Parts: sequence; structure tokens; C-alpha cells
Amino acid sequence: MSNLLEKASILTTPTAYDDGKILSVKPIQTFGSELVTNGDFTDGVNDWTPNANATLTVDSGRLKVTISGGSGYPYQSITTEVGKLYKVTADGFIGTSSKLALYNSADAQFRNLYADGNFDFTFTATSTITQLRIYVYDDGAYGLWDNVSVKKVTEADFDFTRNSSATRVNSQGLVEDVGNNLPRIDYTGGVGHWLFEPQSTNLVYNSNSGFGSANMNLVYNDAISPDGTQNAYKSTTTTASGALVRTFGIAFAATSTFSVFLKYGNNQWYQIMSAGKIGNFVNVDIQNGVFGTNGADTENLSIKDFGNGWYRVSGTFINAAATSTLRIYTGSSSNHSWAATSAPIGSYNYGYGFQVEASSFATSYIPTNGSTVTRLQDAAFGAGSSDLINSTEGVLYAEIAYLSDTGTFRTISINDGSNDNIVAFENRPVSNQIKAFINVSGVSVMSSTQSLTNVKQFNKIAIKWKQDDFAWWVNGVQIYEDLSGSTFGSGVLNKLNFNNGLQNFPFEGKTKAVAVFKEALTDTELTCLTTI
Amino acid sequence: MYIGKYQFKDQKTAEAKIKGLGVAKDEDGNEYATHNHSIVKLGNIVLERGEYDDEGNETKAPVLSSKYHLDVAWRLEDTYSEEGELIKADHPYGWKSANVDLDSNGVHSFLGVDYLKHKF
Repeated sequence: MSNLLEKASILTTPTAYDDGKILSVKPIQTFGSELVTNGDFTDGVNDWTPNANATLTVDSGRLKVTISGGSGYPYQSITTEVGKLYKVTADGFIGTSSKLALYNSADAQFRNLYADGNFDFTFTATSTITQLRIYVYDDGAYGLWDNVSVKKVTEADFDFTRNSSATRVNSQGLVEDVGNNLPRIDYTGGVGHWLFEPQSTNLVYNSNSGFGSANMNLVYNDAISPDGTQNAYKSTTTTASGALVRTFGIAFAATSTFSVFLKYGNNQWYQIMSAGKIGNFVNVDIQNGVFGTNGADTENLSIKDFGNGWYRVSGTFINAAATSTLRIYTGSSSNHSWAATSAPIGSYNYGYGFQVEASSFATSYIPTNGSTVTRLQDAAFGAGSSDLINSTEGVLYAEIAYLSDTGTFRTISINDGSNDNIVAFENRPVSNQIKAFINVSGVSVMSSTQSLTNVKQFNKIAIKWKQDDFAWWVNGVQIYEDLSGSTFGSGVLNKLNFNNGLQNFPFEGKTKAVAVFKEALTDTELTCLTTI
Repeated sequence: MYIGKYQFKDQKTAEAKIKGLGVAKDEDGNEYATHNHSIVKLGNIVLERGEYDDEGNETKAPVLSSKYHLDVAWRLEDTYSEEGELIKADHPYGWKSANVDLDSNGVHSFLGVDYLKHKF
């Protein structure tokens, strides 16, 4: 039973990624048979059809394409399966042309080569016939081709997009930048997980410099910050009352969430507040990582230990003033009222990474330097195929924590590219609610909304489907069962997505594992699989 | 990906333009976007920063734009002609007239993405 995940046909854990890809642990990537005929041109120019501008010969075992006009190409049509992944490789030799290009009708992209080299890419078939063209450019020029190959790929890697960079906490516990379209394995809390976040904007113009202060000596780049470099400030009071560090004017939303990194120096209590609203404040003990009193319009308080004495403190201001400043006052008590702090002269601490977001929860740090800055949405989708997903029966399993349970739906699903045929669970915009549902040909065969203890902590969830046998399990317990209903026809389900199949309602949360089983597991197995 | 910066006469006009990109309603009747472009509503942006004293009190009010501003990260791809020549993507229909062409990132940017390298 301990090796239950070995039965999974698809298994994704926070282990490996590539540019634009989340790599699944299972299945191991395999390739089908060669689909190009005479791709090595040992049979002359047979099986390749030139267009009007191209003349084909064989030169030293390679295909020589001579052009009249701006460009020309030979092509070959290969048989493909819609939705399946194919790997293309080829060698190109520039000859007297200025450019070669390899085109396929599935993604309609021209991939160019400007010197001798090779091609290596994948495409997903959109038709049962995919045309492959090998272009040569320039009137009167020639180029050469060899080893043109297309093979079906069996894998369950996710496509991943995020068109901006982002930050994560790495395995050393340090905040670090992650480039565009690179998935994030985040170690906040100490254990690695995939992090999928919504688009969010840091409304603070300068997140780590250019602050204002009062009754305070502020020294930048004084201490090692949570990103491991010496760019944290040190603030030391010069007057007992009203000593503060603040941002400049911020355009707060009515519901705005602040987050700041603070580290104890010699003073325990600080007050984080918005200058525009008396109810927007909280007193925090940065020596022990606990909160004191807070204002009536301040909620969702969180304090996370980032090691080396650093805490990331966050909270949500509701009914916030439209324009205000975020301030850190130096205090000496757990129950200072709004802006009414005092502390001994010489009290000091360290600070880093101020952030205000127009949302009800804090997301990863978004550095800014002179403007507001937006991190874009993480999106992962398109894993698997009908070879790896058994439509007639199976189990969808995930170990996940949602970032929030307000605002929108957040979905993980197996589907057919629509939500007519779908097995899914989604976080509802209602406190701690999750809905598990199955639609077959647009008809609901199971729909169950349940309240969990805390959807923002990791839960192990599994949905089982089989003819007249539908159920879902959470943390070792079956919480719903429906023993009637038709299942999917064979070959219907073909994708595993972190969304609803229509690319809407993307999952926003943390993921330690997602798996698909090709059989309806037993109750004993599901208990074992989902037990925390 | 392309980045566009836009200004509209008011929020209502901007919201209508965003809605035109595609919306649907969920089972609770709430609208959601059916496109995958990323829109940031900047509103009436600050043209001239305000000034503040040491206490953070405003001594000179900021000057705000009378226009309603949006930044959009468009999920648009260039396409190719039959001859393999590049055809650059353009603003979606009806957006070009509201485009603002800047020579800097302006008051807002997308993390790690240079507007000047990604503008239309």
C-alpha cells in the first residue's frame, strides 16, 4: 500500500521543470515509431513533394532544395492524432541561402535557421493530417536538409505560462527572482511545493528604498535581507514618540493587503498601519512573531518566519482610505492605539520589501523601483493524453492548499478541452468550501459541495469515477458518494489541467502532488492515499 | 506577448472596452473574463507626485490624470505568411486609438518585462 502512487499513470510532484514546462514524474517520456517517410533521403527525393519554386535533388545523402523566387519548399503530410504531442528533429545546412525554416501546419509556426544547425521542438496535433514543410529562401539559392523526423511523444508534462518574472523562496529560505515562464517550487514553510498565484500588483512605488521617516535615523543597505544580500534598512529612533518609516502615497483599494519583512534589533513591538484610516493598524511583536491588538478594519493577520530573525508580516486593511501611506511605527506595547506609539530613543529594527496589493491576501514579494509593478498569473495546463487517462474509470488525486477562499473559483480538472466532460474539484468563493463535480456529455453525474476545516492548509483530495460509483475523499475520509450515474465513453478525457478545461478559473494555490489513476481505487486504497 | 498602455476618457469607457474582449457568467451569475490577456486598471494615474512633510502630511497635492488608464499584457503572437514572412501582431480592434506610446515604462510595469521591448 505504501507504493500506491506507483499505480498512477500520471504523477506530478515539485521536482523538475523546464522553460514553459512542469515536468511530471510519471510517465517516463517515450517516443513512438518514425512518422516521416524517407526523412534521411536514402530513397532519393521520393515521398517529398516540391512546391512550384523548389527543385529537389540529393547531394551527398542530403536533400538539396534549389529555389526560384523568394522561397520554396518540399512538403510531406503525416498522419497524426488530434491532441497528441509530437517531437520534430531535423538537420539544416544553409548552403547559399540566407535562411532555412521548418514549418508545421499544427502550430503554423516557422522556425528559422540562419546557419548550419538542427531543429528540435514539439507540437500538439490539431488535425489527423499534419503537413511538414522544409523551406529554403532566396532566388537562385539552395539549402540542404537531412534526418527529418517526427515521432509521437508519450509524456504528461504541463505547459506552463507566466509572462512576467516572479519571486519565490528557494530551498535555502532566500527570496529569489524567477524568470518569465519558469514554474516556481516555493519553500515557504520549509517544504517545497508548486506555487500558482494570481496576477497581482505591488502598489508601493519603491518597495525597498526611498522611504520617508520621522523621528528616525534610517540607514539603507545596512543588513542582510531575506534575499541574502545586504539591502535591508536599519531604523533607529531619535525621538521617543511617533518614530516611523513610511512609504510615499499609495492608491489603496478599499480592501488592500500589506506585507513587510521585519527583523528584531533591540526593540520588540512595532505598529503597522495606514495613515488614512484609524481602524487600519496592528501591533506586532517581531522578537517572538506574535500579534498584539489590531484595529477594527484590519484582518487576515499572518506572520511567517523567514529565518535569520526575519518575519514576513501581512494583514488586510478593509474600508481603506483611497490615498494613504503604509507606516511602521516603533512601539513598546502590544496595545498601542492607532499612531499613538512611543519607544526609548535608540530602539532599532530592520526592514525590507514593503508591499500593498489590492486583494484580500498577500502573495509573493513583488520588488518595485520607481513604479507600481505587476506579477502575472501562473497557468499550468495540457498534461497527459487519452493514453494516460482512462475515461471509463479512474481517480484524480491532489495534495493542495488554496491561497484564498474568496473572490473566484479555482479549479483542478481532467477534461476533454471543454467543461462538458470533466472531473474536477474547485475552491468555492465561500469560506473553506470545495466542490467536487463530474459532468458527462454536459450532464452532471456528481456534484458535491462540502466545507473543509481549512482549505488554506494542505489537504489530500481524491475523486473516484466509475459506472454507478462516484465518490470523493478528503484526508482519509469519504465525504460523499453517489452510486448511480453513467460514466464517460472510452477515450473522451484527455487532459489534466490546473483550470476548468476552458482555461478559465485557474488553480491558485500550492501543490505537493497531483496524480491520475486509470482504475477506480478501492476504499482501502483511497483511505491510504488521502490520509495525512 | 505585447504590452499596450491605454487611456480612456473615463472608467466606464474603459470597462466597456475590457468587457468587449469577452466575458461569461459563472453559475453564481458573476461575470468572468473568457480571454487570457492580463489587464491592470491604473485609473487616474499620478502625473506629478505630491509633496509631503516629515510627518507624511501632504503639503502639495499630486496632479492626477483626467483620463482612465490601463496597462495590458496581450497574449498575442506574431503570425507568418505563406512565404514564412513575419506578420506582427497589432492592437485588438478598437484599442489602437486609445494607445499611449511612451519612451519609458511609465508609472507601472510588469515584473521583469521591459515595455519598450514589448510594445506594439
